[in-house]
Amino acid sequence: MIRIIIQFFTIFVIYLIGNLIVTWLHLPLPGAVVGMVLLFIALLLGICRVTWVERIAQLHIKHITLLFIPSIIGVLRYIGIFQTEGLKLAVILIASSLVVLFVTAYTAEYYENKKRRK
Amino acid sequence: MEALIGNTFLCTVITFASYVIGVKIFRKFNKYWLNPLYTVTIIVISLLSFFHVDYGHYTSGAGIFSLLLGTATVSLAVPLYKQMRMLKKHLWIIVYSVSSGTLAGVVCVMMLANEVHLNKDLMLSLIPKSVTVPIALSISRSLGGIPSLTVLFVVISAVFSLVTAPLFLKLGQIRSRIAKGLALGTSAQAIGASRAFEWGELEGTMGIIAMSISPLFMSLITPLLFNLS
Repeated sequence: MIRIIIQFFTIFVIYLIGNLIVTWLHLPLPGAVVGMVLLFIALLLGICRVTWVERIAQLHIKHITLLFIPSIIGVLRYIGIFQTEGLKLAVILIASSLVVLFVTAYTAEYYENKKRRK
Repeated sequence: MEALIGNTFLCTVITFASYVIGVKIFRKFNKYWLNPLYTVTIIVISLLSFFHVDYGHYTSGAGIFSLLLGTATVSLAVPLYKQMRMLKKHLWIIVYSVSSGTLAGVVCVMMLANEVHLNKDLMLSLIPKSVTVPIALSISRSLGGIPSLTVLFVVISAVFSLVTAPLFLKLGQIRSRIAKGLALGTSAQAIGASRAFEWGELEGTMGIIAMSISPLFMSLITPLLFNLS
């Protein structure tokens, strides 16, 4: 338990540093993403060992659904939007999801085939 | 101040309790449609109406959860680091396909929203919907969208991609295992990656890499497109 708390604290400090960097440099990026890049670099350089943060990272990702819940509940305030714009939203959601899926898949497939031919 | 502490306590207790119940139900019956996401939402809503709690009070107490979404984002560096060998080996194919997929999704949303004259707040809330929730939320907030709608959009598109991807990838004659994994991870994030593991280790690993790396592209693309700085 204490190990988990220490690990959480490590991640939390990196998150705060990420936010500070964003504020100082006026970066148009979320602080958490900068924190993610910092942690990745720290792991690569060996400043932070993966065992120091591994368990807390797994715990976050495993229970990430829990963290969405309040935001999902917040949607209830906007329920009216779905009555008026529901169809448009559905079309855009479906079309753009398929675009993401296919563009990613075809680009990867194309590069793999090109590599194979060489 | 007192009210805020009260709301935080209330929100945390209700959410945790509902989550524990939702996960127990999911483990007991093990049906994919009993995903804790729906069951927990339903339980929270029932608890709120049973105890006559106002939704506004509940959501204003959610500070702890938004903090944890931040640390969850930072945590994504760990799976990415653990897949370092695969990331290095397939670096360019990953960078090209995940970035073009993510960019194409954003462009598609903008064009369609323009076409159907969708209200701007809604369009901005749709933009980051292909990346994992914590980052989609903060991008939506910085664009001026409605973060809680964004969460819903992310979840709807992830579930849609997850359910239809096996069929569409087959129809599209995608054979490469790397392509399948990357496509699922980019469009359906964590649930996509875990589905990709059912196809195989390579697909799953690619799914995890795509899920952790697509937010990077998304957070670079959006300020460029909207000139936010």
